Amino acid sequence: MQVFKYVIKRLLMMVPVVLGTILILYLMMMAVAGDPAELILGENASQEQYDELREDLGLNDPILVRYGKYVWDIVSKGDFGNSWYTSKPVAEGILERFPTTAGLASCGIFIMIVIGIPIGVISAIKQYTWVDNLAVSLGMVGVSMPNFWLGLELIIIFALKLGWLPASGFYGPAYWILPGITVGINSAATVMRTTRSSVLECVRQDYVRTARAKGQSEQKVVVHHVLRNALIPILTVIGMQFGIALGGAVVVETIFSIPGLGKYIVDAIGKRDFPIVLGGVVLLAICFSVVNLVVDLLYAIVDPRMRTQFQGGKKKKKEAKAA
Amino acid sequence: MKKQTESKAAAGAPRKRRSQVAEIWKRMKRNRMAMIGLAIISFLILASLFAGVLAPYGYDIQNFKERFQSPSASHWFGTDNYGRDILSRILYGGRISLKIGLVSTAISGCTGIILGSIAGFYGGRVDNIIMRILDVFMALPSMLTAIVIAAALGPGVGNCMLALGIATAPRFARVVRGPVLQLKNQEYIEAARAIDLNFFQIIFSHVLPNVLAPIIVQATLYVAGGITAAAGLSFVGLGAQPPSPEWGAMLSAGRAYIVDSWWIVTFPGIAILLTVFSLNVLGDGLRDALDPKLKN
Repeated sequence: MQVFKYVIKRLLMMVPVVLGTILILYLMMMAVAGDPAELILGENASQEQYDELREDLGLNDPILVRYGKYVWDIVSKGDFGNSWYTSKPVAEGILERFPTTAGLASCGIFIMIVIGIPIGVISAIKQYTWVDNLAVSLGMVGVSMPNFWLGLELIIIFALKLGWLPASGFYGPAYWILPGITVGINSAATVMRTTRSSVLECVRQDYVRTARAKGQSEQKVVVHHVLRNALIPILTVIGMQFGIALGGAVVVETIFSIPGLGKYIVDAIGKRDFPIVLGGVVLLAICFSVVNLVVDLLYAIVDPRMRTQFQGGKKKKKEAKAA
Repeated sequence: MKKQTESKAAAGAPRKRRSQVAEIWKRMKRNRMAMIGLAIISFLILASLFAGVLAPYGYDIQNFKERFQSPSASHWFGTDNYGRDILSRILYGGRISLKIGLVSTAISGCTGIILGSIAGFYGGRVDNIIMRILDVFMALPSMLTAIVIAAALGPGVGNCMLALGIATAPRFARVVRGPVLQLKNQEYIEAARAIDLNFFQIIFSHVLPNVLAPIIVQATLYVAGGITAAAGLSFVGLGAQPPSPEWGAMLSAGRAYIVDSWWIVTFPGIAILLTVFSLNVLGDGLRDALDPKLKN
């Protein structure tokens, strides 16, 4: 019940943030967009056509009214407006492409967890050995690598020289591998570094010594006692990296010519088709906020101590007084 | 009376500061990775400053007879589709990339420090308002914020720096706000208030010196992040425009030729990687040296 209340509370708190994000994006886009009616009609249109279109688009209203209408259309009808160039609904375009981008980001997350956590744990357990040194150095290189450059190098090596994997497009599982690695590698390195330092903090705790003293196998000690307790900072970082993966996907999709939301946005930027840019970014912002919420909820599953955050402020104060 | 304390403070401050810097430097020197980072970044900065002397060719000298040359003795890093020497372009491009990193961090740092210290120092409603507004900016990953702002401002190096600065300022503000919030209840701040110092005097001479460590570390890492992000922006066509030898723009322009000429994109990428790597290890080393408690 408390969890439910907490989720509702957090969802409600998300509303002003998302509305604010849309407001800033909307003002920014509209301030620079110039006159969309002129953009759409070109130079040869008559004054009448022009006036009619301005009326249709609601361009004669003050900007805040237009913002209000924009938000209301999203909330009531899921309508993100129409593209200025093709006049197709933006909602269709972004929803069609969103699964691809989400899939790509998930691929990245998968790579980041599968590579980052195990190497981080091993590196921490074998601190100051050559394994640790190698992992730390590689981690630093991984964090510093621009992912779009890595993508190009992966294409050169695995697609063009070795011919093992396809270079671009998005048709089957083989097409996911290189983009997935490209999106995930920076994050994998970040997760590895966080895992290492978090595990290092935990291995010296008394309860770990106790577990060892009980004669538990090393594997059990690491997985059940160390990793479980080290997981909170790791989770935080993974949540943050999901956002970065979404942002990174925008660039990575351009490299691999993947027809996802990111490429849609970048192409629209090139054409100054702002309804698409706005719609796409708003969707990503909502997505990012939801992921942050999910990460906060996961804390409670991993660490019972964190469940106190589900209690309201009043109850906490009461308990503190009672204590 | 006031004069006396001032002169005392003036006499005391430099001595103390010098010893602290020496202490930090001593700790830094023990960190091999950080020293490697410092060496690499110094080398890169010098190399790009003296590009005019070091570069074997001009960055925009085209030579159609020598297009798509693979790396050789006369062109160490090969040539591009206009026959321009890639090594020379990388050396000159370093100026742009490093400038973007530094200026965007300066924008983000100044904005972040001001907002963060106001929020932390005044607390309460002011804090709430500032932080909620910053939350709005942080509702997007910073790369995406930068892309959107750059898209609105239009392409170009100046706009790119501004976009990156605005996109990362909220995160900088958070880093500053935390320590300021903790510090403001210290007795010496209370004392500073008691002698009627104004907000700026308190912030600049009493609060900020004490939160300098996280600011310096953060700034180093942001320069690194700024260089990567700027390259990313150029790559999607929003940063430096061709024929600028900015590293990201070189990558973007070389993309079309990767089938036959791998060197056109490989070497600028390595330059970015080296710069960012050195700044990252330097930042880590600084953090350990400035705050030994954090080290594990």
